[in-house]
Formats: sequence, C-alpha cells, structure tokens
Amino acid sequence: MLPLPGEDKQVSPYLAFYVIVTVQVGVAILSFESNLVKDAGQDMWISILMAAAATHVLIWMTYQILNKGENDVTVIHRQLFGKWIGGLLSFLFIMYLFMIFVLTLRTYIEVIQLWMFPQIQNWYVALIIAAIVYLYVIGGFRIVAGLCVISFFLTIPLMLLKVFPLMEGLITYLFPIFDYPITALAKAAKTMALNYSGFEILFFCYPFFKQAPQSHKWAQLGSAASTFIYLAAALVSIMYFTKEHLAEVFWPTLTLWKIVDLPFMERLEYLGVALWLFVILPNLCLYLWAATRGLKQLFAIRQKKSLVFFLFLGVLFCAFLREPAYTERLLRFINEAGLYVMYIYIPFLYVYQLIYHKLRGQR
Amino acid sequence: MKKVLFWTIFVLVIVFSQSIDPSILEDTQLITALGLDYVDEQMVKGTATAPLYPPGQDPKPIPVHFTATARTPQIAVQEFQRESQRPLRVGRMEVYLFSKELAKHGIRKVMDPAERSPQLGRDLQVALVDGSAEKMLVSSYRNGEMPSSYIMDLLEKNVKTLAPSTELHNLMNQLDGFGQDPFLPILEQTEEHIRFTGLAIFKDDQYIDELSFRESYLFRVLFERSTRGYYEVSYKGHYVALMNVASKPDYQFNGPQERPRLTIQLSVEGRLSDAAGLHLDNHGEIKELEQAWAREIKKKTERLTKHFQELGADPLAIGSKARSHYRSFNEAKWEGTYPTIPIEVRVDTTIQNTGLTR
Repeated sequence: MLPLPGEDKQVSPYLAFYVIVTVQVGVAILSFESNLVKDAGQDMWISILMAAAATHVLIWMTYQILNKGENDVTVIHRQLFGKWIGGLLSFLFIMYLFMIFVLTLRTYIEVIQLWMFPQIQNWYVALIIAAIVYLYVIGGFRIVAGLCVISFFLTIPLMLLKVFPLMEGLITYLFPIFDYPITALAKAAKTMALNYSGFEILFFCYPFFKQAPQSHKWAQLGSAASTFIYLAAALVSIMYFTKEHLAEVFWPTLTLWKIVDLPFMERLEYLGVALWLFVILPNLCLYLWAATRGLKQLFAIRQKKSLVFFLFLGVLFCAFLREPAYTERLLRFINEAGLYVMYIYIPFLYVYQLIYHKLRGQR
Repeated sequence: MKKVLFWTIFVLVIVFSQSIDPSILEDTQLITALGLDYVDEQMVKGTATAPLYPPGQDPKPIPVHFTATARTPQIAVQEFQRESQRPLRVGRMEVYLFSKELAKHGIRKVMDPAERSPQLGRDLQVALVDGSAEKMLVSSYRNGEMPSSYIMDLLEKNVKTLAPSTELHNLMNQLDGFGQDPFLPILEQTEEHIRFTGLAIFKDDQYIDELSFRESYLFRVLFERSTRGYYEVSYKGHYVALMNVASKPDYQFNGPQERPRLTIQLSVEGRLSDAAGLHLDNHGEIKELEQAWAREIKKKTERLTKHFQELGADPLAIGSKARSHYRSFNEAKWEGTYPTIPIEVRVDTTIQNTGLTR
C-alpha cells in the first residue's frame, strides 16, 4: 500500500469543481458544433444533455470505485488485479492520458497556425508551451489546481461574447424540436461524450482532496457547469448559422467571435485565440501531472524526471504530426480509446470491484 | 549550474529560431475595399483601394488604387503586390463589391476566398455595383472621402434603414442554407455620389432580378422587424407620408406539408408626417386612413411575394421557415412546392398619432 499524500500537498474538496470544468472544456469546444450538426442538426442540444447524463453516472461510478479503494487508480489496480496485470492497466491508462495531452497541444497549435502565424513551426510553439507546462506541473497538484481556478475566471468574459451573435441569431432555427430520430441523436451523443472525457483525471487526483469523498458533489457540479457551457455554445451556434453552413465551418466558436465589433478592437477572435491558452494550459498540466503521478506510483520514478521525458516526447510528437491526416488518425484512435475507457472500462472496474469486495467479505 | 545552462539554451533556441516575419502596421498598406469585375468565364478584374498614410502629424490618406486581372481574387491581390510601395494586407477590408455582370455568372466562386480567410471579418459589407466596380472605386466624390469609407458608411448606416443588412455572414448563411436565397444592395455611381438603387435578388448564387428602392423597403418590412422609413399612401386624391415607428412580420403556416398555406401577419405602427390638404380631426377618418394604408401595403407586398414565387427565388427564407414549422420536412420536394403555395399578407396598421397638428 502506497502512502497517501501529506496534508500540505492536498487541496480543499471544492476545487474539484474547477478541475473538472477546466479539464472538460478544452480545445474541443471551439469546434464540436460542426461535428454534431451533421448527425443531429438543430436537435444537437438534446444529444449534449444525453451525453451529460451519462457522464454524471460515470462520475458517480468513479467515486464509488475510489471511495472503496481509498487511494488512486494504480493502488486500486494492484489491489484488484495483482502486480503485473494491474501495473499494465495503469501503464495503459497513463499512456492514454499522455496521448490526450499530445492531441490537445497539437490542436491548439493548429488554431494558432490557422489564425495567427501560418509560418510558425509546430515544435516552436510546442516548446514554448512545454516550458510553461513544466513550470506549473513542477509545483505539484496544488499549483495546477490553482491554475484551474484562474483559467475558469479568465474565460468567463469569453463566454459573455456569445451575446453578440445571439442578437443576430434566429430562434426559428431551433425548430422543430425532436425532429431527428433517436438513433441519430444517440450517434451525436456518442460524439459528444468524448468532449466530456478528462474526468478520468479524478482517478489520479482523488487522494489529493482533503476529505476526498466530499469532493464528489463538487465534481458533479463541475460536470454540470461544463454541460452548461457546451449547451450555451451549441444553442448560439444553431441560432447564428444555418445548419448547412454550420456543417461547413471548421471552428464555429472562433467564427462567432468574428462578429464581435468593439470600438477599440476590430477583430476580437485574435484576443480569443490568445486567451484560449489559459483554457488549454490547465488542461495540459492536469493530463501531464496525472501521467507523471501515475508513473511515480507505479515505478517510483521522480515526477521531475518523467515530466521532462514526457514533455520532450510531446514536443517531438507535435513536431512530427505535421500532416492533418496523421493528426486525424490519432484523434480517431484516441476517441475510440476514450469511449472504451469511459463506457466500458469504468463500469467494468466498478462491477469487478463490487464483486471482489463481496467475495472477500464472505471469506 | 545545470539549470542555468538548460534555460540559457532554451532562451537561445526560442530567440534565434523563430520564423514569423513581423508585420508592422506603419510598414503595411491596408486594403480597405476590393471590387471585382467580370472579364470572362475564367478571369476577374480586381480593383483595390489601399489608402497610403504619409508620415507626419494628422496625415490625410492618399487614395491608392491597384487593378489586376486574375483567375481568383486572391491571385489578383498578389498581382497588386507587384506595384504597391508597401506589403498589402487584407485584414481591414470593409467593403467587397462586384459588378452585376459578374453576379449574373454566379458569386459563389468569388465569395469563397472571403469566407475561407481567417483574416477577414464576418461583418464585411458586400454589395453589387451597377456598372463597373473599378470605376466606382477609383473615382473621387464630392465629400472628399475615400470611396471605401464612403461606401462603408453608406451601407452600414444608411442602407441599413432602407433594406435588410447584408454582411458576409448573412450572405454565406443564405448561400449554404436550405430554403433561402441571397439578396444584396445595388450601388450606382452618379455624377458626384454613390447611390443605393435597390436590392438584387439571387437564385442560388446567380443574380436574376432586382427590386427598386421602394420595393426594397417593403421587402425589409416583410423580412424582419423594422423601425424606420416612410410609406407613401394615396388617400382621397392626396399623397400622404407615414413614418414607420415599428413593424413586425409573423409567418404562419397552415395546412398539411404537401399543400401548405402561408399567412404573413404584418403589424405596422406609424405616425403621420406629411398630409397636406387633409384635415384629420376625427377617429373615423384616421381609421379610414389606416385601412387605406393597410390595403396599399397588402397590395404591394403580395405583388412582391408573387413575383418571388414566379422567379423561383426565395429571399424571404420561406423554405427555411417552413422547415422549422413542419416535422420531418421533405427538403427535396420543396422546390416544386414553393412556387405553388398561396401566400396571403394580412396587414394590421395603427396610426399612433398625427404629429403636432391635426
């Protein structure tokens, strides 16, 4: 049994709210509408609610698993499956988190290249961001959680910008409600479910909350807040674009910001792209922190060493992922993996642990 | 020591391998308006206004124009580069014009770069030129303004009250969206001014007809809520002008999806502003004037909708509204249904007051 982190490294349970919001609202929110509109049209908000409901159940399961295990996932794995199989599962989990880190970074670089500097090389941006991530993650979970809080409040003004396109939007585009068959809605919900991924972080940061079981309600609230943010984004996009046009646009949210015309600023989306770094940064930090923490638990590697290694690998990946076709393939792979992790692996772990504890109790 | 070495190398790498060429505002020339003329199937003639600000305090911009013929607008911009003093940038473009001739051959092709470019705003003003776009942009006008800012102000502040707004965003929505067709303001060059002459009606992306200035105003009343403008009504041998205080259209579909009937409920509130020769001091007379006004609007707007149906163009977005009304809407059949649906305009007019006198 590995020791739990000391109290001086822990944070208050309510910070689970910020951690979950920032990890769920990442780079995907800039583009998710155009993926959903192809399947669910104006009814995409129903799909979002469906995915949100499923996510709440999954978070509940996660907490059940963690409350019983009373430590992070590596310890639970070892307890349930033994040293070797448990270790392998933990290792795969860590790799999964690392790949999400790479993809998030790569997608943000793509936005920068598209919007601001077409000539800039991948590795250059990746290197700069990696340095910032290093400085945050090295500070430990408390610092990363604090960054989540800052990021949450920094991006509220960006949410308010939705008012501008809303004023030009047409309510009629939302009708008729429930016009799409339930199968289409479910398909879109499946796409949407991936945007909610990231709460798996809880498997690693659970022991870092004081009175950890109490953070459950905050995590649920955090997920509800992300739903609200996604819902607002989707509704505004449906009203502002026609369905057919929305399916053509790559980054609907960034395109929405183009309409904002302030007297002192001609084009606001540049500010938005820059500010979005603060949304991406805690995201990247959390994934990498969880990955390095997992390695520490597994192999007793110092987090600083594995962090430098991961960052180096991440920059390398981004440098070589230059063609959109490769990025897309990786994205599809990670999405598939994410679905398995969230909707098959977590329920499996939950049921397995239930049975395990029952059998042990009988014995 | 190791730490210092690491960060030193890091900073050196960051500083010396950056590959962004800086773009300093004072060293660039901003294209503020682009006009496109038709040459042939393949080629367009692009004309850009890129004011040059000479150094000094409070400089007056010098109008600079570039003209080039190319296959796509973007290549035309590159051609301008060959003669411009400073690097050209399109980020501040405010006006995008093309000639009627070009519009007749379809605008999708020339709108594509505007939609695709991350540098252009979604509130770019798009308009049609009756005649040559080049001539409109290179001429100088009485007010001494840059043609681009003149057109921009005209479209954004004045035409807005007379016709629905047509920014890039609306145009792209109309081009891609189901059950709606674009419309654009037409500008015409007079001796010393630029004049708004009416709205061009498109079928898909091709110009097919135009509305006069008066019809454009009625079109706006049918299209969206409006709060400005004047109506002219003939009443008992006099011509009366009524100010539009607030008008609001409401589209109601009745009947099954195969045979829909459309009623446009139009409520208009107005104020009498010009009624020489009339003495309106009792309620009955005002009521009568209201009714005459309503009849006038009904007659003219129904003529408009009828005309759109005959053209097969749908600038009022009736198809899109029908799709929002009917469940499991059959989009493929709509094109056949649209010209046949009976459209009735019901007008409800109220005269708020008669101004300062009776």
